[in-house]
Amino acid sequence: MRAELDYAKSDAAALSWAFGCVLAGMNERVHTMMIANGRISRWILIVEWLACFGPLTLLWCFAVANAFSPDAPSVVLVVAAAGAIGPLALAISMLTTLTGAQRGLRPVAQGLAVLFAIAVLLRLADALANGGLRLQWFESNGSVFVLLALLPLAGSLHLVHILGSRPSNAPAAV
Amino acid sequence: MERERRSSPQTLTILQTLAAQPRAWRHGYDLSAQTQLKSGTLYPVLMRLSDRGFLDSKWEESELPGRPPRRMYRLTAQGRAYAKSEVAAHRASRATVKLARSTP
Repeated sequence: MRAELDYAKSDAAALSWAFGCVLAGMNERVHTMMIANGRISRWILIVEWLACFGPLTLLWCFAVANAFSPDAPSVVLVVAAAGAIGPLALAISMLTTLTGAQRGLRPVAQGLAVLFAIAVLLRLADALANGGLRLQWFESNGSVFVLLALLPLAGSLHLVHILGSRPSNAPAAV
Repeated sequence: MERERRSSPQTLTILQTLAAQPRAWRHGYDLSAQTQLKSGTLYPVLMRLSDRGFLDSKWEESELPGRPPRRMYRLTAQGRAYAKSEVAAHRASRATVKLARSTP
């Protein structure tokens, strides 16, 4: 790099060249100092998936177990049908984390994220229709809203992100 | 899902410039002048290409006495194949975009 300065056509060109070399050198130095890649351990991911999709999956299991009883209320049937996205999301996230499988799963994860987003919006619309987002609503519905709508949405968005990221063995762009 | 990342436009420019005369050794300044890339862009790309085995490099003693040697670069056989495939892929993607834009 430094030897090229002798061949620069003008002082301004030499200065510009030298400045670029300093930047390139600093960039390379910072690059070699990066020892962390920002990837999350699979054990932490498993805990995250259980936290995000576990409550909805448990609710779905409960609903399915009670759906066949003759006096089951209609809400149980609705939860048994619509809540199936919980175990599906849990299964896909676990499959991805434990086996590294990614092929074809991103569109499914995107679909799940859309469904969870709709669930969040429906919950908020319901709250607005019943007196607005007041402290009272959060006290009585907040935990359900977080466990069954917000956390699954956050988990599914993270899953979409993971499924869209480049595998560590893929060639890097230069 | 495995996604193959294509080279950046700057990398493509450097590959095209080097592939134009694959046997010739080129200085960094010469490449910079021809590609209009600044040294801060050029050298990181050259380093990545060297790391991946696409470039050969050697030192050339300066004609000026007491001055440091200059580093020269050229494509390896693997680099030539890579340059060819990258340029072809770039042309194909441009043709696809052109076709998509011209289709009503």
